[in-house]
Amino acid sequence: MKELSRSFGKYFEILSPRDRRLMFEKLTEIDEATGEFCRMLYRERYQDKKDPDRRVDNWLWKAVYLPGVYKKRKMLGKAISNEVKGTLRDLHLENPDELSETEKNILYHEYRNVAKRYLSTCSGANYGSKLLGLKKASAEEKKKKACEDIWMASRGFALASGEEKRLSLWCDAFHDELMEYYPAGKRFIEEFESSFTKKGKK
Amino acid sequence: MNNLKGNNLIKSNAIWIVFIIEVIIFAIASGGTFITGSNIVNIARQVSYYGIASIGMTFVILIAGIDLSIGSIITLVNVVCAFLMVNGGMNMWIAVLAALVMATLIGVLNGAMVASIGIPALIATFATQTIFEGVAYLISGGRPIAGFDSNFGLFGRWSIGPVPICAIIMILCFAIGSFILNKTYFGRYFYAIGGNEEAAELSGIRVNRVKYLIYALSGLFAGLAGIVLLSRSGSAQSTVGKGLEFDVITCVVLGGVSVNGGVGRMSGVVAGVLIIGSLTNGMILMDVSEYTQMVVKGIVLAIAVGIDCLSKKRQTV
Repeated sequence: MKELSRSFGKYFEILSPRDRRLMFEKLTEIDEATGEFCRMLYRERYQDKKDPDRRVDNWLWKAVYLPGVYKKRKMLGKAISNEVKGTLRDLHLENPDELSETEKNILYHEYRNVAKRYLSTCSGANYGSKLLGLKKASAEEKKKKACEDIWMASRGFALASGEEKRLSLWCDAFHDELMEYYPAGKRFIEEFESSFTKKGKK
Repeated sequence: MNNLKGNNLIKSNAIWIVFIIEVIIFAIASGGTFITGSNIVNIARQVSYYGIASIGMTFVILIAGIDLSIGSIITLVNVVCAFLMVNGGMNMWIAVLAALVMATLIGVLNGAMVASIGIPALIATFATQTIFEGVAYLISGGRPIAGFDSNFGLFGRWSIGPVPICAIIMILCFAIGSFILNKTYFGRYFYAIGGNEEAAELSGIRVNRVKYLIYALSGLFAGLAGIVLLSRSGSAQSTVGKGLEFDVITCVVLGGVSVNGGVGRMSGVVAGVLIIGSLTNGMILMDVSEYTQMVVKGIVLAIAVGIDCLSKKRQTV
């Protein structure tokens, strides 16, 4: 993916929606079309259509929810196609070939921001705890679980749904962000991939 | 490829295979008594109340919580409902409604302690277990309460054809539980909170509100189980629910709901309930003492949790 200018790149580094909005208002170097695309993505990601005052992150919800879909894939059967359709629509990936290079680039960085925000929650005290929350996870266990969650929300979901091609931008962004967060996680990712191949889809 | 599919099929239905093996063993050991129609109806009656209670427990364990108070809720609902009907002269339906509202409110109290105050679920619900067990004793004075309306047998003793109404209530409850888990956004929230609570909160889920609702539902289902049990036994005892929470937890964990939260399905819990119900019934038929039954159930719980922990260690998605 194309490198972004320093200040525009910083916009995708910030995790707080409010700070991102403030930062975006100060950006001057992006053209009108790019700015409009970013604003649209911001609205779609952080706005609750039913209750505009409510703070949501609709794309982070995908990262939280898709591992659950992956785990229940055998039970969902054909119902998984509805989940896939909704996800592709929400993430602007129904026809990725129709996206311009700039749009693809912005989406990639926005997806990385989603993964970054998810990973920021993976070091909390309760993350990965076991036995009804009584046994806290070690730092290494938390990182392994983070790898598992990120893989299931991206590549795992893509493999299970057979949509590897259309979801490749989402998968690449999540993978790249994970590798930046935990480079040693590569071995876990390889393990998950080979485990999926051995087990088969169903 | 076919071998692979076969292995996966066995793995995903292992719990049902265990159930079938158990039935075959008891059928042979009892000389066929275990699989007679009357005994199957008997098992359906026996499993109905902890089957109903296990639905609420499933929700709670899915968010990596626990509800130890359900045994006491069952006891208190027994005592309060019977007290209102016998000593208060209250109409059966109003007494049932009042008892269910009370059970739900106890669940809300559990939710408040866990979600708002931040007391670990194990401690919070252990406290309410002790409190409401005491309250049940205080109301009943430790004596059984009996002599209520014969129509009250509807929930636990009556049948439609050969099918006990309590089993129908349980099946309806399982259908509702399954619908909530698989078809509603609310059900998705359970898995999300159990998987990563902080991320779920950031994505817009009102985690505390969901926790309140889950504990309230756990209380409600336990209350309903209490009504069924009271109807079946015909008298309220202040010790009736003692230790029931462990049977319920065993059913849920045996059914594949992970004690780490975020993993599990209702069909597995149905199998767990049937396994524990058949085990209890089979042991009674084999004339196994009550204390030996406790030992066996304890071992089953330990094995179920052990398998869950080991599978998590070895798991590669």
